[in-house]
Amino acid sequence: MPKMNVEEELKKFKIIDSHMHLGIAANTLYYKYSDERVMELQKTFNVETSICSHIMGIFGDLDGQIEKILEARKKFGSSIFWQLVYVAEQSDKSLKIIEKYRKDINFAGIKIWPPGSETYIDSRKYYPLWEYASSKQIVVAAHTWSPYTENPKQKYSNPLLFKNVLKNFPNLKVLLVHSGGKTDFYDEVIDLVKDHETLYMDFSGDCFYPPVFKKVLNRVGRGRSLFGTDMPMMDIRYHISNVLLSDIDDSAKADVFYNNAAELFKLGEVN
Amino acid sequence: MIFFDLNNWVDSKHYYLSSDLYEKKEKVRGIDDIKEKLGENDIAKAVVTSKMAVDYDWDVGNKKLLKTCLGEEIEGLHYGFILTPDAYYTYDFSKYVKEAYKRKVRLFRVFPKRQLFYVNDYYMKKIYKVLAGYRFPVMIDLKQLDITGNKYFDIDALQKVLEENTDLPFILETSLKQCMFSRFYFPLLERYKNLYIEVSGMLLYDQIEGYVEKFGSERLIFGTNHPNIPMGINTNRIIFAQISESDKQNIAFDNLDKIMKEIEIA
Repeated sequence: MPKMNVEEELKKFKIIDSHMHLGIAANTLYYKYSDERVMELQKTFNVETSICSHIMGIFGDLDGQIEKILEARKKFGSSIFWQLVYVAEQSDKSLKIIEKYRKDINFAGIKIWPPGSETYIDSRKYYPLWEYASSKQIVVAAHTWSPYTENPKQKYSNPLLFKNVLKNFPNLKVLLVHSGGKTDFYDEVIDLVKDHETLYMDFSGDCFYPPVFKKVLNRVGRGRSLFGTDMPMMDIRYHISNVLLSDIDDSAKADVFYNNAAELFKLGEVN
Repeated sequence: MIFFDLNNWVDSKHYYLSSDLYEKKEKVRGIDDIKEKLGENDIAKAVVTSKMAVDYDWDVGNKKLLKTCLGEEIEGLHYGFILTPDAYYTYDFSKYVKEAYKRKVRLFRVFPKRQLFYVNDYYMKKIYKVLAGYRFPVMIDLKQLDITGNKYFDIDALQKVLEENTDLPFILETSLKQCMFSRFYFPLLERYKNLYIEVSGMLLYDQIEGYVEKFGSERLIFGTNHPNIPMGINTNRIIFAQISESDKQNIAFDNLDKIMKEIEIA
């Protein structure tokens, strides 16, 4: 296999990061953290648009999330599109905030983190969200993870539970964030996505497995894999390499890096 | 840029999974496979360790590693051996180390949690003393100090080893992002100049850049953690790092090369 000049290779692509955050993650050792540095790295590595949810919201502070987003909008303008968080145990409040603010920000959908709510994806507690998002054609970005891992709370975010959800909400568009998170679980998630045309995948997280992009192309087809990083939990440079090292042609890489997210999130259109 | 990879595995169970996600050729993980991949990724030197020696038995795995590689005089390829306290009373340990060195072993690794012994076990202390006398590097995965399983690391045990063996180059593997949640080892880096960090688990944004800013680049050691992580992921992370070229060179190659050259076995 010929050696790749990764720095030259990267120049070929513009990027939408379909899964990143601002804010520090829980109990994580950051030597120095700043929103500015996160966004500087995004720019340095060709990210034109960042689809972002704020960690404050993910940890349940829904008002705090709005404050942070409004501050960030002043600093970073239209380079960030925002996902607002739905917390299962704060259902009414979550939907009120989403409805109130979605017209005022570059809104790119709704984020859920089931382990935080200790609520299974197919629980009825999520039904108000599925109804709302389906009726308005809003994309839900759902954290998903393999249930076969050390952290017992990840069982709540098993992506295969979307089979049950989609029986009742067949038009619901969902980005399966992390696609189950573990290489040995990707197969099952790919099969799920193959059977449900409203499901999309990103491969952000702490697994790096470049062949997965070809697998999705071969088994599901084009248009369903998105590039995501999980910044600042994961450094963007790892996931850029994950795509660059994949065995797909440049036009398929351009789809992963940019086109598929632009299409799914209908960037540029008023939500 | 060329690399010296401290953290490369053979006999990994990851390569024997039946899942069709794994390409057929990836199921065989022999020396030829390693040789080919090292070249593709500009890795001029590597230390290869047997995963079987961790998952099954240290001695069986170590021997199998050498048997697999016997006669394979591959330039730049070195080996890592797994150690448990058994090594001290099973063999004449000084002789064992010298013999291993002759066979291109350049690293000893310990997995106390996985292989059920204390970091400061009676025999382990004797092992550290012998290895410190040779300035022979020892590596431990941070996860092996996570006794509670909830990222509450037994750093005191590591501190004791470092305190008692200041000539022992001790390398902390940061596998699977454990280092993102540990505040415990910053003070150790401040206090003990013989502590080094292997970079393959430094996944947090700007984590490598942050370490270089705070501690300099001299104690970061390059590793791929292949095949758990494809080699190119970690080589590219160094290429893309926003640090000086000399810092990159230190991390990619020079720091580990220096440690290896300082092993003192007559």
